[in-house]
Amino acid sequence: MNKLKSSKPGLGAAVEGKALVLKCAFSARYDLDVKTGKFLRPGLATEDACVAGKILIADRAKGGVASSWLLREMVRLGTAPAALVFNNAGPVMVQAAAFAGISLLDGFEEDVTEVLTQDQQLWLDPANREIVAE
Amino acid sequence: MQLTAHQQKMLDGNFGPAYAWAMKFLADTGSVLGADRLIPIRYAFFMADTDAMGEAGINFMEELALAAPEQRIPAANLYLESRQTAAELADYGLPQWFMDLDQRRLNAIAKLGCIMEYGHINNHSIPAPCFGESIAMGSTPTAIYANSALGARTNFEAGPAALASALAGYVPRWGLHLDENRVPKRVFEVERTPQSLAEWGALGAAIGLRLNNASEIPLIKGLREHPGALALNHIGASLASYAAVGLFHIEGVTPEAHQFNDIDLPVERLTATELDAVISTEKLDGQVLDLVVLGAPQMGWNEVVELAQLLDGNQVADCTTLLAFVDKGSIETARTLGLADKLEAAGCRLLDGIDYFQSGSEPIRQANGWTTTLTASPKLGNILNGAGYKAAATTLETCVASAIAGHVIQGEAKA
Repeated sequence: MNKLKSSKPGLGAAVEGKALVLKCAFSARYDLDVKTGKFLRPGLATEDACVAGKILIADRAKGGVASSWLLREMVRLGTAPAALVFNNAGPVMVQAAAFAGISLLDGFEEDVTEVLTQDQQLWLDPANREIVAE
Repeated sequence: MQLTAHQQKMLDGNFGPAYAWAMKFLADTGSVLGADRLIPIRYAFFMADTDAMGEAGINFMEELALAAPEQRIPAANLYLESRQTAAELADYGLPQWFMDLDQRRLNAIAKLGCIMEYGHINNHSIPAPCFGESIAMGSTPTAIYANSALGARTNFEAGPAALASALAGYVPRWGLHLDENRVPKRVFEVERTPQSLAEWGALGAAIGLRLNNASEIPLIKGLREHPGALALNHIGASLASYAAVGLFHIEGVTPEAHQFNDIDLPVERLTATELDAVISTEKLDGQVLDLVVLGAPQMGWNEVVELAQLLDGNQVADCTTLLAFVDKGSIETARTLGLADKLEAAGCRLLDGIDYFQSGSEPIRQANGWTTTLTASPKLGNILNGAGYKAAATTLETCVASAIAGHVIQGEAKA
């Protein structure tokens, strides 16, 4: 078991799920098909990778002030990730997670895109600012 | 985060559910983002388009609007960035369900006390904030423009964040509201001063591609002429799209730049080749061209005139659709002066509506089988490549020449 501690407060409830790790920045607006949770932009993840129910790990969020609306719509459609983990979430993604009711944690000493691996089982606890990896 | 007694009452629901939602949103996000308190604002700028909101977002707005009228009066002026979807897009396959959602959206937003006036889009003259004023801007290009060109202070108050700020009348005091977060972290020396709006957009994109995170505020040096308001708008739109950064400084141009004349940072050279790479059509060269879409940010009057000059005496190819998103005032002027008739006779459709990528671009693509697309906006090119299009940004000149030819023509590199 590997435990990562964040230096910042998180958002939302405790969540368990499998990791989907992106080695790059992520935008709900620019990269995803909201209806399926799959990636429209080529090269971000493996073909057919889907964020639905996953704990999405990425370096940071990139542009897209529409992210709040899109993540809430994904929750309604059942295609949203279970939680979001970033090295640096940024304000737009914090606002989006708060509005959509998706758990979020960022601000770790380690690079989360390096220490967490694809399909690894994770337990995310925003209240205690920690992730436990299988 | 500290709340006043009034703010705590709002949070506790003493003024109704709409204000309680707004205050909880501001308190939750402000705490995570490191705000120490809330600061009052005069107005907020709300980004809420049908494409992004979907059914869930519009349901949310309708539920919020169910509150008694006295329980949903915004404490600050609330303006909408996201005006109506152009009705003419129905001719290109935009489904009726999308337009029905669009009308529901506008009805719900109006019930929340939003001022349904769109004169502020593009030129930012109504209601222009003053230097140092804290505001809540929800539209990407408008937020970065207000911070950079005007010296006002805002973070990206995305979607419902601006609504919460307007209802409550406050915004969390953190990020770009604070002096220490407005200091440049990177300095770029530009090798070539851009000569077209597409190139100014490319400058923003090229710098955005170099930045590692949104806190790396860039200071740009070496420009040989003042960009003007439209070019500043294009730089900001691209910078925010590629790097989520909310502020830039330009030596001798933007109002805070002089404070950093002696800043001790390495100067990074931004080459002309990097600009050319952003507005290159090389990957699409020679392909049959399905769509040319112009205006993100929306086209200004001088761009309409340039477009008319480029199309003069020519005809858009049958296989290509040319859409130009222009503000209502410019379209009316173009009709008065006969330019609109000339443009439409040449095969260019002028549209008064929110930008294409917020107008159901995906169902329209599917309805028409469109893939290969050119645009004069690096921001729009970036977005469309994430929405199933094969898009490239290039100059207006190359966009029009390609539309006339019916296939993608490679623009000339200027490096």
